[in-house]
Amino acid sequence: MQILTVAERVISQIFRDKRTIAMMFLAPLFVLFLLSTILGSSSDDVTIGTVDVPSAFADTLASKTETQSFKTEAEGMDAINDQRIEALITYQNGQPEILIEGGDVSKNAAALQVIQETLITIQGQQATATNTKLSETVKQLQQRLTELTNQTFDAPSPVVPPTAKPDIQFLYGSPDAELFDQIAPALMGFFIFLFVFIIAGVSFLRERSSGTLERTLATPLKRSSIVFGYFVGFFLFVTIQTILIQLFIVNVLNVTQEGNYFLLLFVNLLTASVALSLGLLLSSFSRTEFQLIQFIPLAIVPQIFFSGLFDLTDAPTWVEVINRLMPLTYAADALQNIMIRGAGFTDIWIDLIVLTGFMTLFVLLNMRALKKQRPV
Amino acid sequence: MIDVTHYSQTFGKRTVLSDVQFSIGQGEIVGLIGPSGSGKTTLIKSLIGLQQPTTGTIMVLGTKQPSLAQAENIGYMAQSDALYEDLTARGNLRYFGKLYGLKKARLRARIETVLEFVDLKKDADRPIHQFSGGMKRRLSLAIALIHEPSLLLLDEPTVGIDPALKKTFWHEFEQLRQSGVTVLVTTHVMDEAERCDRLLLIQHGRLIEAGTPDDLIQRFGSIDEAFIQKERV
Ligand SMILES: Nc1ncnc2c1ncn2[C@@H]1O[C@H](COP(=O)(O)OP(=O)(O)OP(=O)(O)O)[C@@H](O)[C@H]1O
Ligand SMILES: [Mg+2]
Repeated sequence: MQILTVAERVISQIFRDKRTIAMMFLAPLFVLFLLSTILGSSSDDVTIGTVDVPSAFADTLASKTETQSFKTEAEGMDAINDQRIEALITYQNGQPEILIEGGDVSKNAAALQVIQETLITIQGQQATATNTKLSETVKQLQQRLTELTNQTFDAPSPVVPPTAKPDIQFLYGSPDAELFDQIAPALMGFFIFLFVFIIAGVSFLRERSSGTLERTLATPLKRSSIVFGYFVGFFLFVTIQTILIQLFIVNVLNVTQEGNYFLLLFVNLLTASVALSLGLLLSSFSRTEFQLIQFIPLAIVPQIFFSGLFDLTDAPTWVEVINRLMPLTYAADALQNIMIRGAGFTDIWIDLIVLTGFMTLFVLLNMRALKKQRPV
Repeated sequence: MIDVTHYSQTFGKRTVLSDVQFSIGQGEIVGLIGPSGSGKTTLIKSLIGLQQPTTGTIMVLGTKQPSLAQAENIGYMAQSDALYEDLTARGNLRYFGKLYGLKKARLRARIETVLEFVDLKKDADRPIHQFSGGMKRRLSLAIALIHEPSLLLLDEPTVGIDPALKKTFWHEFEQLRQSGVTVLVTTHVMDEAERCDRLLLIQHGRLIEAGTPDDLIQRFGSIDEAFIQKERV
């Protein structure tokens, strides 16, 4: 009962602060929209310059990307220096020589891929041509043999190299899934973490400095009830936030969502609980709101690096250790597995247990910190 | 009601109160006086159970403090108004009333009664950040009274309140005393000290039973002198 009384008060306080409400609900949508647009607008279209290349090569290349042919190598060099083309191909003694511009990582990769594809196609064509020639020669020889000896000779037909395309299928997701689909779930977790941390932390700090915390603790309220009251109050906002973000990224930004919405909500509530208990805890180490905000670059921002945005397979051990210590690592993992791979409870239970562990630890530390305010 | 024996309070190396000893019976209005920084608020906080006494025992209503058990029998008015600024007066009263365990009908009735008493009826639905200092003070008193406690601990309740309302306050305190409520009130103001049944004076970390206001005046000439002539204590 006392928990609900505290929750009700927390809720009505936040609802009276219209700007906080707007920030909490609209800011994540705006940032997600912005990021989705930015990631969607980077193009991998490349222009490749050629100087005096065989026509078969030039045709194949032109069928794959935009090309520009130059009369002299010097002209080509000018173009690549001005970044009008991403790569320049010249032929020396029948061998292609490739010069890559090298300034834009993703475009260079795209250029390399196109060139390699072209070379493979050309080789395939050459092989087929050789094969055809070979078969014809064999056939002619057979005919000659029949004419000369009246004997038929069975020659094995030449081996044709397999040119069949590999059949590629996606276990999860689809070929047109973009980077944004991968980071959207993690970002959702990050926003919930950030907003709950800031709003809960600042509210609690204000209670501490205005004396309302002490006044509340002078009533028969149990220390734990105030912490759990905050939990329940913030659950309402996190639920609304989750619904809004989900509706937005699935329907407007067309992000893949394969999983169960209730499980997703559950993970978000758990993430929020961790953020909330951390916010309350760090607020007891701060005298002012300014000091609390100073924790953000240290405690919150690095978490975004570990939320699945970057692949950490080759990261040094100490980074891996930090990774394991960040609550958002587990939240992001669970959210990504639910949304991209349609994971169920049994697939992500380890993440959930770790998050619960963080929450329990922070809550216990909070109780200890509150003991200073009310020993019993 | 209150029994304090050999109580001392230390913050770090600083001893604020040492070997404090006194008791207060039911239905008394006791004034706690002493210079600024002498430890009045510290003593009140220990009586509620907001801090652990460094040594000694504090018994309130038969329970050793700190405890949660007696919180619902104590009405507390902190020195600085601890109010939720973005809630209304009614919202604050509802919140604290519920925490003290008041149920629907009684809660509603009590809210109206205390609002009436502190003369905040017509401002009851305004948010606190629009309130004047005196209005906040009155609301704090209303919160202290909401659950009809049998012990009132009031830390400078009349700071920033106009003389007319101050009079009503003291009239109410005396009425509460008639119904058996015990009141411990800290004050710097002499006319208030004179209205107490008994005075406790804190000086140099010691608490002195100063007896009735008349006793104090006999001893020091006037209550003001009691503050000034520290050396005679
Ligand atoms: N939590 C604390 N930590 C350290 N020192 C404290 C703490 N609380 C109070 N003190 C010190 O104890 C002394 C007594 O403070 P207290 O607030 O009890 O004074 P007071 O008698 O209420 O004064 P005033 O009349 O100005 O309200 C002060 O010197 C104060 O600095
Ligand atoms: Mg004081």
